[in-house]
Amino acid sequence: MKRVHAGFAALAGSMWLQACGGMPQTPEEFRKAVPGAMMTKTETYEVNRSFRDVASTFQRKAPECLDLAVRTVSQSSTSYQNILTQYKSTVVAGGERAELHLQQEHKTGVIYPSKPPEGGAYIIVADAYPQPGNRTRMQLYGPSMGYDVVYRAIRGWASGENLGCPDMTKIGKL
Amino acid sequence: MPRLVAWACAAALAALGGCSGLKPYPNDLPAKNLSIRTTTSSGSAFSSVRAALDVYGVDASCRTQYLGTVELDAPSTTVAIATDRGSVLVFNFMSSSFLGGSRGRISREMFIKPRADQRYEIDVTYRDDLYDVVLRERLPRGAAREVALLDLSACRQAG
Repeated sequence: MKRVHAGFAALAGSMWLQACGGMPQTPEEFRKAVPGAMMTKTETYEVNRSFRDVASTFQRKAPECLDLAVRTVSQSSTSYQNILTQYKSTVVAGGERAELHLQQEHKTGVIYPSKPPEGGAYIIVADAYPQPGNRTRMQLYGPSMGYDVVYRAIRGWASGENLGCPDMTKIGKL
Repeated sequence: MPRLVAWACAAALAALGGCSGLKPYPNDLPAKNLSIRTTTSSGSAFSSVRAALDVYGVDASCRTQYLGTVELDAPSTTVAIATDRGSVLVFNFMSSSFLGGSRGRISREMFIKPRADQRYEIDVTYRDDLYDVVLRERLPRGAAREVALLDLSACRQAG
């Protein structure tokens, strides 16, 4: 019953990485592709929280908040779009790094120019690294526009200051 | 004639209610065992957000039946949830923007089987496009303990 409906929303997709060569098929390919791609960014910050706590928060909040589907309907006098987008998160926690991957797959209404990986195109990768003094460094890769709500949620989970879920219907809103 | 008008109005209202499928939750059990604190803020003067709770009864086979909706339009709301069976509570956040006419709805669902002697508190928050639902049970000495949210699979596992 975890469902989302969006009445009208702008489509912000993952096309910016597809335009130049194939679509990244792994998180590592995504990390390498983002710095040279259009409309992308990398972001680095530190949080005053232990790496273990950050990793466990990612493991708890990512599936709870990010594994859902969003339906976007937009209509004008000359067009009608109905797009179902499935989001999938993966958390890989190791001793040296904890990774949060967010994938996005348009189930309807979008034609991919190249084959997306299983689970959808990688849209955000957030890496957490342990730092001295019980601190954690965050390194994020993803779009420069339209995903602010997801970036803010991840920052809240990392710092522990806000454990709220991002309203995924706001993706694409500038 | 007035009777005919009244009937027509009633029929129209019934049709409208039928179309939306929503109905008010009766909330008529004697023990109001759930206190809900609601905070919503869209973070913009050009948009708004409101919250509502859909209540579903859950039978012994873990099938759900929609019982009604409680508008969470006040800072505090008390709700009576049956203690002799499970319930699914679906918290809906409906946002709308005055610019561009966009609308969205996102939901958070939880399964609860309240104990008869237990009171529960739920904090429902939507602020700056981030939402959260936190469940606490009130302990006998007044302290509150946070409880992890379960979904309907907990009903099936218990069965």
